[in-house]
Amino acid sequence: MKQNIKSILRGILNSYYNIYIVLFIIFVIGLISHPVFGTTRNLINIMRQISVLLIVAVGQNFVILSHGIDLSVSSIISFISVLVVSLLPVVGIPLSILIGLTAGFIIGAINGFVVTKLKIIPFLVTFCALAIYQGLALYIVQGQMKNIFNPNFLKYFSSYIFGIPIAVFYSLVIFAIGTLVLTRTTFGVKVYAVGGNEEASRLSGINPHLIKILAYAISGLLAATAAIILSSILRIGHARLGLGYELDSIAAVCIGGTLMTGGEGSLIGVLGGALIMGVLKNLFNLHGTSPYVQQVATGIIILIAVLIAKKKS
Amino acid sequence: MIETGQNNYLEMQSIVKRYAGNAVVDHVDFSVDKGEIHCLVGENGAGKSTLIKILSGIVQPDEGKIIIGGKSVRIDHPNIAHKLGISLIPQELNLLNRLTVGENVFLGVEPKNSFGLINWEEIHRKTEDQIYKNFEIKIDSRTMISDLSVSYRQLIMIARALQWGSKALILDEPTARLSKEEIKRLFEIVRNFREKGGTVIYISHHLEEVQEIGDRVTILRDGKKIVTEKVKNLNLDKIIEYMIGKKKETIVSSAKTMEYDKTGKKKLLEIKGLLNKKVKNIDFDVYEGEIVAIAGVTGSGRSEIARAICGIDVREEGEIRLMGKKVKIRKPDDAIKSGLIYIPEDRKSQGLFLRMPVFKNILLNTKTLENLSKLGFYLLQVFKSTAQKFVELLNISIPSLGVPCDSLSGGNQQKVLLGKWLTMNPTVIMLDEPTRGIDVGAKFEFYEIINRLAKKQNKGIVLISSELPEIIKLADRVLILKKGKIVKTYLKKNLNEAKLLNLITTIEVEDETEH
Repeated sequence: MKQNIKSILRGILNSYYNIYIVLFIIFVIGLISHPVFGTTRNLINIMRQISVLLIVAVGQNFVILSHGIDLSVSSIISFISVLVVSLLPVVGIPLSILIGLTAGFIIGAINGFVVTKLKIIPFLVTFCALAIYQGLALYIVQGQMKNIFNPNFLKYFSSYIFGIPIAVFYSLVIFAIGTLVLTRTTFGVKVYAVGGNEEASRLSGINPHLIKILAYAISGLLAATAAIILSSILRIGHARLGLGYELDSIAAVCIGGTLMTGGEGSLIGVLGGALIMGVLKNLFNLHGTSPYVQQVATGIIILIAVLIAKKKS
Repeated sequence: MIETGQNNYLEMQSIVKRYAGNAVVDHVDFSVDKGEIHCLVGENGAGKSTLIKILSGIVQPDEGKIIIGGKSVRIDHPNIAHKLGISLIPQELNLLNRLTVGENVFLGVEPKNSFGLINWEEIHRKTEDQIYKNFEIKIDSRTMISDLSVSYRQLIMIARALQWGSKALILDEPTARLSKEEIKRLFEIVRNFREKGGTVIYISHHLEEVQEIGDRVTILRDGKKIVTEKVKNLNLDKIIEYMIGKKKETIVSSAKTMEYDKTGKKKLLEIKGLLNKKVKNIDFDVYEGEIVAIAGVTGSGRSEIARAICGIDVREEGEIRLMGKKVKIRKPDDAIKSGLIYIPEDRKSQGLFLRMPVFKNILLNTKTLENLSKLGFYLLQVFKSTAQKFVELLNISIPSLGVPCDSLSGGNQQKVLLGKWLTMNPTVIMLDEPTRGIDVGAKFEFYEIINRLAKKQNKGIVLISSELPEIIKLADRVLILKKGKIVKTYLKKNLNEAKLLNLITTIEVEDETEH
């Protein structure tokens, strides 16, 4: 029995889950340092913020696992946001969402295609995509923002169920599907294989290019999903809506213990990473920390969290 | 033993190097004179490369002394070897391909002008002068390394060593990737260097090269020095005898099975006219239960044959028949789906997924994944129980199925790699250096497994190996490969290790084939 507890404890300390210890510590600090932090309202607020980040980070995790990186998620969010909101009054909810999600998927697939077939490094490809779709988003709305007037759209994506934002449910479903794909499908096995050792995966019969293209496409699709939810929450289509999500999603994946070189990592870890990011931001806002100081502190805290996560090996 | 006089340039005394308790270099004395070309020969695993790694500061010896110019020295870093005037010219030339000839030659010793900036004029002028003076070859110092042929790159490596003031060059298999003409030029360069008082340690599998260029030769076997002798006092047979020694009968042929009998057996694999950049017009076949070995020296295209067949490398021409039926193989997946597999020699870079758990590694080929899943979904239970079966079958010792592969020993990793392919029940298995870097016990276990696969399960086996005892022990038929061509085929009964070594290391062999 004692042996059991010991091994379980060691298991916790030596796995992705030790970032949950970091999360716990930050959480306790939050409870002690600010009276509002622990209130139901604030916690719900945190959950809603995190849910959008989590959706983007799940996609980012697929790309990073396959030995890539996707810097373009933020501009995909902005682009799909203005695209869907512009189409909404014209074609209605189902079609505008279908177009938005398809566009996200295709944008991601194009990224993957350029990375694999034209053999340009992922950083550069998605860096250029970041600029391209940001520019397209601004061009579509000519720098203006567009309000959403469709009440059903708001109901589907930013209402509350039992007092909990609907976005949280969407993100949990996506998280669950993502976990299922990574741990219970042959596609998941192949993603890890391609990221872990591309040449060996090729010799094993896998088509590494196809797997990578799909990973980027998933990232694009999920960024588009996040765009729809985020637009609904803020009730606007905005060409700068996604700003910062590329770094936040990479940070969440990184803190979550996924190797930046691919082949290793879990979505449980990424969830922890997203939670840490969200709780920290919330705490800073509550304390009225200057946004400039926030950035400095966030950077340092990510470094520390990654360092702790690294200790597991 | 030969007399070593005042001419002695360097001396290694009683050098010992152990890996995991096994002495790979075992009390070796090795001395080289000034102005001689000293060849170092031995079979794979004899300890040649460890010895020169010690001399060039890449590996530290456990015991022994190195004496240069009468003084005892410690070479614990390649830089120290350079300072002592010893330069290793490795098989894989480590030049900076995106820089020019001059930049490479003067790397780290760039002359500065009065402003403290690099004097490019001087670099290029001196490089061209130096190369012309030493090798009587005119070369534009501003040429990019990537635009040069292998033989020229070798020359630049040597020029760089000279620029660094090297008095001794260690050439490791320098001719492996050179044409006949290029070899001739290399020999001239080496002789030229000797005339100017330089010392050369020359490592080669090609024994006739040793006879052509060597002054003395030192022969290693199983980590021990057997003899140092003037080359002219030894003939080819004598060298081979020293290299192989009188092996215990048990090692060479304990598993000596009956001569393979084709009657009543199906032809599993038939290759006709296989052609690409590395292999030329390869024809061969493999029958049920037969082990066909491909023997040849490094660079002869051993692995490339299998890689071309399995769709890993581009194939320009060639017909592949499996059990009489013509198959189209364009990518590795096609080969796998038709039951033809290649198990690569470099398990870490081409075979395994080191960070992934053992049970996923064992199942990681497209056919097995497909067999064990429905619509892309699988049950963890099914994965684990299938993997467990093969772990037991191959006697892989692991604490649990979930441990990552990089925590396993070399032998166990190799078993995982083999298991990974057995899960799909292949028809023909091509094994590339299946026992490289694993200990003796595991080696013999592997021989049992390979024999069992052929003789009990009627698989066709293609064995690619640089270890001749392994080939002699396992193979029913041996294809002798040279420069990408199969020059001869032998049945097991007509071969022994000495004959095989002679066959693969001498260049010209008349073209005839036994069936």
